[in-house]
Amino acid sequence: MVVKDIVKYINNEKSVDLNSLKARFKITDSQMSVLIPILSGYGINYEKIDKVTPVCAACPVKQNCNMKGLNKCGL
Amino acid sequence: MVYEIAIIGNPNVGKTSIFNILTGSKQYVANWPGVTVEKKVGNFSYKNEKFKLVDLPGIYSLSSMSEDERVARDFFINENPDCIVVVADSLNLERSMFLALQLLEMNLPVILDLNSIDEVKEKGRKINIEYIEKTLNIPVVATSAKEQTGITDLLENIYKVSKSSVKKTFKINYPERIENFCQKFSEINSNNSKLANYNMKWAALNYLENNSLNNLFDDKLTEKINSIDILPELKDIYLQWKFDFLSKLAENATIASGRDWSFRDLLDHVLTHKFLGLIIYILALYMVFSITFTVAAPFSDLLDMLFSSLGGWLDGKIPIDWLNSLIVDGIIGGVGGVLVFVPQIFVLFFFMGFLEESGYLPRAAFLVDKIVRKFGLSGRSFMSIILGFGCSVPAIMSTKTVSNKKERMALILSIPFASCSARLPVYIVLIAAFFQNYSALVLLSIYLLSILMVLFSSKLIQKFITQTENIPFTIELPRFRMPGLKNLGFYTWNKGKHFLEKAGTIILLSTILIWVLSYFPASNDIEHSYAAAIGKSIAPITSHLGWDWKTNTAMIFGVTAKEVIVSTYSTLLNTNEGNIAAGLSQIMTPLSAFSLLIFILGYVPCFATLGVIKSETGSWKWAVFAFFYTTIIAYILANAVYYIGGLFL
Repeated sequence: MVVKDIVKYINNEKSVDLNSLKARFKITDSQMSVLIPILSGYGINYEKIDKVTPVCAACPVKQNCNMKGLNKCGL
Repeated sequence: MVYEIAIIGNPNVGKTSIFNILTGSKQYVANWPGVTVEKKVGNFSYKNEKFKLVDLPGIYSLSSMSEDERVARDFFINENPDCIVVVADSLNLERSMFLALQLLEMNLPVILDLNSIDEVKEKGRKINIEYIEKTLNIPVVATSAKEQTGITDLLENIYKVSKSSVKKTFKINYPERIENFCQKFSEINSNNSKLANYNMKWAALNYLENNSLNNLFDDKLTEKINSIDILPELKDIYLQWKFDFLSKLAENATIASGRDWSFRDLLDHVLTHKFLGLIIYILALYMVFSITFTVAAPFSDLLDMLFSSLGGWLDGKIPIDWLNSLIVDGIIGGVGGVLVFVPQIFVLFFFMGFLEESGYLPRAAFLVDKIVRKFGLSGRSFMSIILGFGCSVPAIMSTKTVSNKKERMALILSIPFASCSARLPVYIVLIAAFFQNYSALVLLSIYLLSILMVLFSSKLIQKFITQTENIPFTIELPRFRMPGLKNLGFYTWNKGKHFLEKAGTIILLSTILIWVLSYFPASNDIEHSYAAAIGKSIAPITSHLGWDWKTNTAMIFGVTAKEVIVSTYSTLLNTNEGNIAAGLSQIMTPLSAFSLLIFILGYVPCFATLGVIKSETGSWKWAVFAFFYTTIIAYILANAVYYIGGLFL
């Protein structure tokens, strides 16, 4: 499997999901796991859904949460 | 002497659990210098030696694209720890190997910890630990944070690696062109003092991969390095080599690949099915809402009785009339009126926590993603919408990652339609008052309508914009797991305590204000109070929906925070002699109440949301637009529901 072909394909597409990539290039689950961090070297990121509700550690405004009880989301 | 140990791994591999097992309660939290990334440090002793354990952020690589990755990379460069524990998920070993290889490229003393080994056994798989050990020339241990096995083995290896004066490292043989590049890179940079702390070979490889250290090279050096070879070609060779090496390692390290499918895989297949999955999602929500109302009702009634008794007992005991009214009607009636819904809120969060912690909600979100894409939104937009169901403020802030400015604007203006958790008490009180027999169904319809409102609003706004999405986006779902009671307890408390905090702050303050407005200027006649005057001022546009001035006033004060609607009702209905639900059923019909629910779902984002819209768009113009846009849409929908519903009821 040639990594640069996959990179070229992803860059040509507007949006690619993991399953369609696996089907198109006949990538196994194991290979996909190796491939994902390698793609980040080409500036291609991916998202993992783990927590659906926001948690404080991941909140983009946590550094602005300085108004104590009046502006604390409490998550 | 205290040995410094770093613990690192991909997100959600059980790294923090291992950290907690090793350090127990001897830990503290700080921030890494200059950034907002959390730094967790703990201490432990083993065989009379002291160890300091630093928990690094969960990352997939050291490519330094994110703040977390930069923090970890700089730690390894500047701190030079005695030992690094790379925690890997045994079921997804390949993913962690990339990070482990990057650390080996930095010539660091690494221990590979294969965590969740119990799940590997459960799946009938077997990992050849010896093969990995020999190939990488590093110690490999198998642990289970859940069952607390393998910890002594891990401690023993940490002890040995830290004490050893000669660190075991892995000699990597790269393709010849890469080796040549590294050699010439080292020669060119031999006098570059900025690279003094860096492993030269790693710096060369980093330069090839993504050049995150570009500030360490001046123009002259950059020109020289770039002329060594055709760098884009070298990058392809280098990353292809990594892919081949790690794929082969993973393949050879697996002795038995186990069953092709397990019960979890089967569940996955069904729950993410495009039709069946959606039906199951709706049924799951219905069940959660139904259980919530059934389980919580007796506790809620008990609290209601307590507050009513307290109000009744105190009433008349305070000699000053206005103070008596403030405490009994205002504070006990208002804040108590909100607090009686604490059981519903905690029970709902408990069951939602179960769905989330078990890995089900992310699957449901995945299904919604498929629909979102049909409405022309990208995957990144979908992540922001999902956040909006918790709170609009972080959701709007998270749209920063959406590169297309016009798409971002559509999102910012549509996210307030996502039903945030602050609206929950208002739904509960209206449902308790009017729809007790259909409570779960009504709450479910509100949530589903909320999703539709976000999607249609985005579509509507996108009518005026063109959208492109250039960043590839892929989604990975977590494995199913049975949530522990302790975790669920934390989840429920963390979410629920926010409600209690608000009751003691903004709800209390608003309640006092509402009481003042309802008491003055005519203390015995609430119909001629300031609060009544405020509510009556918008009566011409709400009376046809069956909303009286009390509802209008509650809506107006609900702009500060949606929970205030409940406390306002509580104060204005003077419910210390009966519950708020009974009071509400006297002032409107079920149809009016349902149209009110729809209005509350969409109308005016709270002050914090309007503020964040202003800061994110850089203009008050958009905050004002959002104010009117959401209110007009909510008003139109409320009217539609009222009049269409009137045809059937």
